Amino acid sequence: MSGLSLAAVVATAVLTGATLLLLAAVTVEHARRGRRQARDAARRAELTPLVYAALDGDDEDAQAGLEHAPAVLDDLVLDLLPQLRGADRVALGGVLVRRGVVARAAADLSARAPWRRGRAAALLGNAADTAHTAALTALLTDRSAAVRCAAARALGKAGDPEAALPLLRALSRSRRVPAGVIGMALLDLGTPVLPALRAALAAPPSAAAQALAADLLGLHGDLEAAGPLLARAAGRVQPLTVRRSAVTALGRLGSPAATPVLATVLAEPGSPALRRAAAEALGRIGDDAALAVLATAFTDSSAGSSSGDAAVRADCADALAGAGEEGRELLAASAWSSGPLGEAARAALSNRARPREARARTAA
Amino acid sequence: MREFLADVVTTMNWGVLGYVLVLDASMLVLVVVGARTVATTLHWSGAEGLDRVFASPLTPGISVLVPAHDEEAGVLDTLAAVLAQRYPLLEVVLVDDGSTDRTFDLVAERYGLTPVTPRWRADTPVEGEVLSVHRATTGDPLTVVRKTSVKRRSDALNAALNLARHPLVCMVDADSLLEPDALLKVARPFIEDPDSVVGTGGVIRTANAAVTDRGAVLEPRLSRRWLVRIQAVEYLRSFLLGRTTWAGADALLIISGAFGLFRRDAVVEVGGLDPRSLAEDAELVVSLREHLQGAGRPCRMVFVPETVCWTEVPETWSVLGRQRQRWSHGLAQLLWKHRRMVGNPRFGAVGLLALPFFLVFELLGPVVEVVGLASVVVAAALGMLDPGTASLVAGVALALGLLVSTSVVAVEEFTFHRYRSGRDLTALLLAGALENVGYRQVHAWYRLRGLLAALARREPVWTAMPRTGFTTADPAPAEAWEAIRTS
Amino acid sequence: MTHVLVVDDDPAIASLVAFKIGRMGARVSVEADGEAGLAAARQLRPDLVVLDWMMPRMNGLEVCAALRADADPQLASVPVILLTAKAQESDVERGFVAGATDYVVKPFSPRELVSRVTAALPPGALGA
Repeated sequence: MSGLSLAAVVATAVLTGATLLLLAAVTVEHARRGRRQARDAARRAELTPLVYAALDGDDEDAQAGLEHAPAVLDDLVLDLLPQLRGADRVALGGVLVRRGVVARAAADLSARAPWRRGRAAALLGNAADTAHTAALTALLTDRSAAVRCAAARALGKAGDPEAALPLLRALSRSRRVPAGVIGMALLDLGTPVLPALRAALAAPPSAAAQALAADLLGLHGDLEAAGPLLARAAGRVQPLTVRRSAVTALGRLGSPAATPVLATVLAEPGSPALRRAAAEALGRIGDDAALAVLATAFTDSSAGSSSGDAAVRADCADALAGAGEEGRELLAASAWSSGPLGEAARAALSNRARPREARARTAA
Repeated sequence: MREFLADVVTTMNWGVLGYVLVLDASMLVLVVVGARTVATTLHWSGAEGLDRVFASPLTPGISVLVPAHDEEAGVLDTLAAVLAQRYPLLEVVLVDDGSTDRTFDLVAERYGLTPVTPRWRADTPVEGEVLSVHRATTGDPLTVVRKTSVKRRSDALNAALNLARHPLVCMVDADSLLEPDALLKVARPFIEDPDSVVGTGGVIRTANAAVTDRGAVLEPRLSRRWLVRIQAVEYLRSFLLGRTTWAGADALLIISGAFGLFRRDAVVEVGGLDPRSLAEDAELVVSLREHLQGAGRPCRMVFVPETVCWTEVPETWSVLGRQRQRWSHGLAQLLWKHRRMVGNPRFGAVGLLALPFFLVFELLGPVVEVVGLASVVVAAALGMLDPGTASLVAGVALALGLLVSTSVVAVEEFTFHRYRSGRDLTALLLAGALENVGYRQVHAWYRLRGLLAALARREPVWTAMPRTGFTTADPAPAEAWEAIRTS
Repeated sequence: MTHVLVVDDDPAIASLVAFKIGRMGARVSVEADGEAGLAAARQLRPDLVVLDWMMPRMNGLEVCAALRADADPQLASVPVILLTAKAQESDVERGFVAGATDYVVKPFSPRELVSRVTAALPPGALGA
């Protein structure tokens, strides 16, 4: 029994020792943090005017002062950078280059810890740095998914249009980057990447790239892409995702030239998702022909009664309700009928009513 | 006879001791591993690209589902906080679940509600009768469903689910206080791994005594009540560290009902929330796993180790007792319903690690603890307990428990340090110590009663469920089993 | 002297904007939340307000609507520039419906913001 007692005493002592050590660490950390925060706040207040003065780039003294300022300045600049665009962002990026922060981040792109690589990439992106596009592009195949995403975001923010193609290719690698991340990066690159997107729509590295290119061209409202988009939307051999993205993009372009093709897609048997996208696109275009197509599809008695068909019909109603006075009038004709048709019409109408109309109706 | 009895009692004493040591040691492991994950997350902080998620027109929309039953005290604050979320595309579906107070009137007045013909987008069964559907006329993306209550949060959520139009649904309690970035943080995994992420959750902390404004926590403060303080430590351990670790092993079983985000199509596919479960939040996660993983489809549940939401916890023993009894009852239901998953390698770490752990340490834990305590008392009464040995052994168990709770507080201080005052920190450390003596034992008793209730009648009796009128303290419909140890 | 009120809960942005507009020769006041911003606007009756959208206590949209509904005609017609990270098409629409004069999306160009402030004020209000 005495051996057991000894073991118990030793274990208790060790555990208590560890607890006390932790307690001491917590106390020290709490006290240190308080002091550190006070000091940093004071330094920030001191440095802020210097940074603002440097923004306009005409204050030589401020520039020189910044190069030897304490490290807290980097945090100050890095906090501000993501919120800025234009000349002031470039000026602040320059401050980071001169202080060696950018060079250190570039070196960190090959650090061992994933978070170091990710942070370094993010910093280069925020600093609008286009000198390290190649290194960032290489990170698109990093073994850590989080780092790949960070690299894609950074390429978008850095602003080098050359990154467009590698970004599109990253969609379909075995170590891939998801469309949501790549899409935003390409949007961040802005209109300079439109040619690359058009190319990806015509001769895609992958179906995923083609679908995303269609989505983005639609968001940009790129009328030059209307023709190829029409071809993708109409082609029945195309992958479904590509067709759907092309259909949605045509809606965003808003050109009535797309109405006949979209009408065909809406009438196709098959994927409800695709037909619903067509209904929404027709509503966005909203010309007389599109509205007529929607009204016909909505009231078509030969339509099936599956849940998919019902959803398509409801989307037709929503599209009509969202397409202005004319669309709503077409819909109102069905609103008084009983059964699912009338209910879908009423639902679409009451959900689309503008605030003022809704109030009037409540009053009436 | 006496010798036999002595043998039994002694064996039990040692068995219980061994059990407690193994439990505490495994908790220490969870804490250490969890702390590492939290540290990594913090390293990324600021570089996770939340601003890009917010700016992107490609970010999937979220329907926030808020069930509310007699919530006039807080419903406007909650709506304000949800509508003020930093998220690009969201709608709120509030369910007035048979409120008898001014819940609906307040919302109707503030948001100029107008009745509309509903557009149902799913047909999950709802037991209560839907009376009407309304929409805000103030430009806010708010829909309100009025229905008769069947005294079940799950029924209200299923009604809301049928109206949700965005691809992601977020289930929130009407008394949850959300952090402004909560949706962005939990939505990010869906964007970065769109093919396999099905559900995400985040850290939930105790809100009692915090300084709040319009549904947002301005400054967290620690309550003066020790019972609440102890729960604060409990929540920290269970969320910050326990769930972090489980999720790291892809074995997360619980996404709190107070705040969780799911893929809508998957939730609809499993038929919404189980109306018969007392722990419908954990039930949903396990059902999704059983359904998807069972069919060989990917099903990742991600835990974001950052604070997303604050919730009020019970301030009295009796309310706490009812809450914990319910959780334990719910856990028993869940393990029984999904018993074929327990130990089943097909469900990976969930089947082999998480479910067995819950069975042995969560569900049966209180049995061992209560029986063990009783055996010590018996032994002492029979004069068979050597006071020297007993106190030495108890000392080890206590020291281990203290180390666990101190490390939890240490991790909080080294990482998030949300409590700024030294007084709160000291109180937190003391509460961690107190948890080991008294609280833990009473808690075991509550859980044992829950387990017995589950065994006595497999059909839960719902009349015991309504809110008790504790407007500030009872998270009865909050029904997450937040603080189940280490979960 | 032209008086501009800047309301933003991010102190770095608020002080940067204040600095930029201050250099144009305006007097600038800064508030950190919507409620304080509205109170300050009523008290100071500024010539222009730069307003964040997502802020504690009262969001910028509510502040903007409250200003437009104010009994004081000068306040009801004060130019309001929303400066916000909310960038979706529908957000911009909602901003203008609430009565904003102009809408600037973050990340923003401080120089461009100054030009917009100048344009929203009567000619010659800012000496530059």
